[in-house]
Amino acid sequence: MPIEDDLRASLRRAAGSAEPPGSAWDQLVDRAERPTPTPGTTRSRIGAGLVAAVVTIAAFALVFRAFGPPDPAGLDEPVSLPADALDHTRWLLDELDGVSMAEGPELDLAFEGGEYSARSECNDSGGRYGIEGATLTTSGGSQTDVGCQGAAEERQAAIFGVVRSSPRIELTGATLTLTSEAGVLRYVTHPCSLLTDDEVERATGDRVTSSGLVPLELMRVPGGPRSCSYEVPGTYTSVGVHVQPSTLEEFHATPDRDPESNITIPVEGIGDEAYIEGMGSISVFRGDHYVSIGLQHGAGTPDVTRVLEDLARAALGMDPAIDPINEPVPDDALVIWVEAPEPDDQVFQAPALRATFGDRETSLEAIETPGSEIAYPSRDLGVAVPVGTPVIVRTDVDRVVIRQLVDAGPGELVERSARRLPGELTVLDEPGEVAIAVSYEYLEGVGELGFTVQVAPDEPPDEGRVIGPGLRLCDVQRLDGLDLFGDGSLHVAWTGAPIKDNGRCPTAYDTPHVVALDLDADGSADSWTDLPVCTGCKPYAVTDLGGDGSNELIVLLQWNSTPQYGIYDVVPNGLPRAGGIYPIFVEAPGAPDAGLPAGEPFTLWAGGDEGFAAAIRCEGYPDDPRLVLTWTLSRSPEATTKVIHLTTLRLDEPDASGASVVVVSTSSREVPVAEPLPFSTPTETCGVIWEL
Amino acid sequence: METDDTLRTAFERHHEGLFRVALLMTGSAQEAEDVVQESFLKVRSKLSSLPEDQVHPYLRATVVNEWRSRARRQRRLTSRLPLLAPARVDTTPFEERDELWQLVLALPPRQRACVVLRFYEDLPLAEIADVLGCAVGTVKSQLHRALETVREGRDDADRG
Repeated sequence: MPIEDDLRASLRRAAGSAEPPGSAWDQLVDRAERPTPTPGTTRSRIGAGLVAAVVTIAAFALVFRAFGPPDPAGLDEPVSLPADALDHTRWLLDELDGVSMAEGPELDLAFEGGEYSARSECNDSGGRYGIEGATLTTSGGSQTDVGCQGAAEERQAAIFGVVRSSPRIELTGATLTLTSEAGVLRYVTHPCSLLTDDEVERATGDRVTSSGLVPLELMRVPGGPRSCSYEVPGTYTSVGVHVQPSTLEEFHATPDRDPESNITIPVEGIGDEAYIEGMGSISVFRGDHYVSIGLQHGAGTPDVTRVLEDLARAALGMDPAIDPINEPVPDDALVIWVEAPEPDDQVFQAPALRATFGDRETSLEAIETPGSEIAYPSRDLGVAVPVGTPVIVRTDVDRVVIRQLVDAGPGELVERSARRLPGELTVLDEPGEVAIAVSYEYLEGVGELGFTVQVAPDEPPDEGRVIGPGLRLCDVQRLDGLDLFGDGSLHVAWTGAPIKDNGRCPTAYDTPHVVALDLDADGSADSWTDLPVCTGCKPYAVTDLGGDGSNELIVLLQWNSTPQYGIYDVVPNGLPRAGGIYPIFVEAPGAPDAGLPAGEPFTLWAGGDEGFAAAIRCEGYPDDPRLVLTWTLSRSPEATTKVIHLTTLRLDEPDASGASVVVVSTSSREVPVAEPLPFSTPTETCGVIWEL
Repeated sequence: METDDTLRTAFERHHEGLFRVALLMTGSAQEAEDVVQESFLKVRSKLSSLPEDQVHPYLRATVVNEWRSRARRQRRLTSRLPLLAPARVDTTPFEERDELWQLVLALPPRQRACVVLRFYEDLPLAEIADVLGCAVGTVKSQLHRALETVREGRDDADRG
């Protein structure tokens, strides 16, 4: 059964494998009444115990660190606060003007080093801050400018409005309330707030074995558990930590876990209370191993560097593959991040990222992984270089961003916009041959200057060539003067890559190509179809392989060591079938053993090299052509035998349905490896001179 | 209220069908319901102005794009953590899933959407392109890739 039919049947079965909840309408009504339409689907179920524990720890820790025990008097009237009362704290919006945000997106507010950052559903805002008495003052600042609509826009206006309007500060325990004429924001301590060893130890009584401060960042993962990410102090490596159920029994009862792929390892250095769970294809893609770390209740803050090492050695059987990025950050270093563009329509386009940093060259490879389009071992490519280091970036990506990582305290790494360039910055095109002009876009910051380097090609971008209405192709190959229907009118065929949605030509070598045809002989393409492969493809020839008086178009699909050809059916206008160019498929049952499975686009080889050899010839051409194919593949240098396949085909061209290739006969026989093919491709056969 | 009546009517007519489309793309009944509800709320104010025959296509496009948007966000998040991928929360035992559906669920989001819209919803290519906001040619190439991947996966399973 063709895969399409199988898919239809499979999807119908799958669509009935679950039923929507009976209370769906009630849920929708509840949801509509909440301040934000995005519910937290995991907060109550996953990790509630540990989240609560961490919140408690964080709350105690912050209270102890900043003020000692909370002062009940502060509940009624805000008291003057120390200037650094909010420094190094992070908060999560719990209520906005009295409306609970607990089930909404995580909107945080952080204070660090005299600067604040606030987040709405759409944008981030930040600037400098200070505390005067019990008033929060802000100055300068910047804000991202992503479009925000409806209720989200109103909430954004309230959040940023309150923060910037000198709100009154109330700090009571783990709660921060900001009040101004613009509204009231009630924040609670962020579950993944910054904790020091002392804070954790004081709050829990546990001795902490970490090497220092471990900043955590709570992330919302749609459909997944809550996670915190640990930045490995002094490096660019981060480790994700899922906040899992607080007992091991619950942890292992988490649905959809494959016991075979789990590895639970006590982590040296932090006792028996932390476990590593390895999941996914760790043995297949080393750069793609999926890891989550389950922490039991009472676990201290892990030394993530050690966790990484333990994980790499014990679970993956290798040393940590985190060089060269896992290196100490030189003071005031600059980091060049080459950002991979979002894979859009070119999902199979692997951006070539290579950069030379001083005397070190590194690269970034794209890996296709199920479910994640293209995943990168590290999405950003970056290393630290001392100021003054010549930097050469070779890239075909859209932009190069320079940022600065600053060691802002023990084990703490803060990313800021870069304030200066490295000694010399050169941006080359991907082959590394042509220097690309670089322009600098300066962004106003708060007390610092950030900038983004935009790669500006010397020449206008390739926007392809229009070969017919609505069809703009890049990498165009053209073949003129084709008498397709034997009536003397001359047609044109093209191959090329359709232009991207952004109006530019794709740059990847394996971009999907099409073959297009000028059906009505007016010089303009009016029909096209996909090519299964294109490596140096081009329209090659026309010939009548079906013996019906109309020609088929032969397309050279790849021109490397062994040319491969595709045969395309050309249907004139006026037949029961719409005129156009169509791929020709192998009719069932095909000859799977001979490499011609049913339902596949028909392609052939006429020659070969090394281990692969093929030949074709026509019999009965032009009146009743039969195409005879033979090929063989030497399985290995040590093999003493090989299999020679011999298949005879004819082209079936009914008017009303698509043309197909029918296997007339096929045979395969095992022969000594030195035996040649039964025939070679003649100089000209089937009316075509084939390249071998 | 008229809007709520309209929403209720649309919900009763289209909720289950949209849930099944979302289920096929997400692989999770919980997430599917989440995506569908989110989509209803997003189009709530527009429903009353839509011709009846446009309600389902509009909602379906919203569901598909809401899910793709979530998938994109999730990819961004996980890409920030090279060593971490979120465990999927799903109540459907993996082994009970249909084999081909498993292969579809492993496709990149856009290919997955193309497959579901083409082979479950039976949409023509042009309509799929409208839903996804891309060219027909892109839909074709995405479907071609998707079928290739699914076919290879099935062949591997058959051999294996």
